[in-house]
Amino acid sequence: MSPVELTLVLFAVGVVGGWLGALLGLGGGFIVVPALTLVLGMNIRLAIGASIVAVIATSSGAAVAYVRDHMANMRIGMFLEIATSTGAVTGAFLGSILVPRVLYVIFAVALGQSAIAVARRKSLEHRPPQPPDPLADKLGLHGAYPDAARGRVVTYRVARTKIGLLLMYVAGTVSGLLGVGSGTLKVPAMDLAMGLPIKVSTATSNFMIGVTAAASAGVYFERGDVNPLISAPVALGVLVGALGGARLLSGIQPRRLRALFAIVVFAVALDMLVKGVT
Amino acid sequence: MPGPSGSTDRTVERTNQRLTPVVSGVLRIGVLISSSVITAGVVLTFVASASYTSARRAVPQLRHGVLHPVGFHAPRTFAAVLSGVGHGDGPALVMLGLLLLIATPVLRVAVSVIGFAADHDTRFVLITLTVLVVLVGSFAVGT
Repeated sequence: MSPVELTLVLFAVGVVGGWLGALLGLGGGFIVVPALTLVLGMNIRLAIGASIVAVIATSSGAAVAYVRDHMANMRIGMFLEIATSTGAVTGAFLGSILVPRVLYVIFAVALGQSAIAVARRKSLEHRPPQPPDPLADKLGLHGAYPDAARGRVVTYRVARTKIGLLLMYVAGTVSGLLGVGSGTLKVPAMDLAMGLPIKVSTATSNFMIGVTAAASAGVYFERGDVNPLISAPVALGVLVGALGGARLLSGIQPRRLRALFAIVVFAVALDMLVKGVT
Repeated sequence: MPGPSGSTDRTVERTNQRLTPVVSGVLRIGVLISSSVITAGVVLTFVASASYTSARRAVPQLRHGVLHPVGFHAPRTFAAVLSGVGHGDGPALVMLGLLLLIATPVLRVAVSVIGFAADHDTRFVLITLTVLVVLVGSFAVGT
């Protein structure tokens, strides 16, 4: 494969990662890292460096539309960023103490369970009413978003903000420790604990992951893991893919989105389990 | 269903009306500028380095993490990136674009602090300021 061909292949990998990442709130690392290491035979450090850039590109590219169209709830995102960013710093410190193998197994099991729970969750209309949450009232977190699949604006109320904040701290710590999975835990935390519509959860996760990734990007840059000629085509592809994916979210059936999320996250969980066991 | 207090309602309304287009705009500008610089850097790399462009195989070298034209090293510091850009170095220009991309979410948080302050939303000024401090602090610790 010549450098020109490689650049085009990396661009295509980016498009797929950005497209799926924007829809699912995951950032696209789950596509970029395996494609670069397993298919193209690259060094894992270069793949992770490219993946960090891809996550930021997905987040910023998709959030342009998600914020403008009120798909992402900015207030929820910014409030929860307190927990994810401090969690990421905690994870970076814990990384030198804890054994990653054990963590991979624990994380894989937690991830697999939450993937199943997200897939089996009922749509908003068929759920019991949310318990009142004075903190969410105080911070003004409740919102509304346009759902093209339902053909109307859907209003929603936020519950269990404190539990959500705690889970986000765990999500941030895990992503700081393992360098992955920031979106895979953020979406279930918002969907299962705080009771947000699945589209608002993935869009808000997308909005947030750029900040989490930016916090660790400096370290990768300093180490020389961000290779310009590998990261550039991936990042450009991701931006194109994310813009496309973001357009689709409002029109997609929530049930399908849940199923797609569960399949992808389950695959990520299996991959982590293999890493932890072998 | 108990509704939120009237003052909170108005604050949220202000955020939605005023801050939303600003944050979306900051992200859009960040994405446009960084992707333009990255694209220019990639084109410059191929145009300027005949040996890289005409190389037949890139993949075997990748196993050792090497993909560069001969004599090229990825700049790791901000000063090295700027000096490379000054010399018309394609990969350095790409790095500048990637750094601008990384800076975009940070800028988004900074702009939000100002936006919430303009709306007199004290709680969210403190929230976004905390995030900004942790973010900038993590850069400082990492470097």
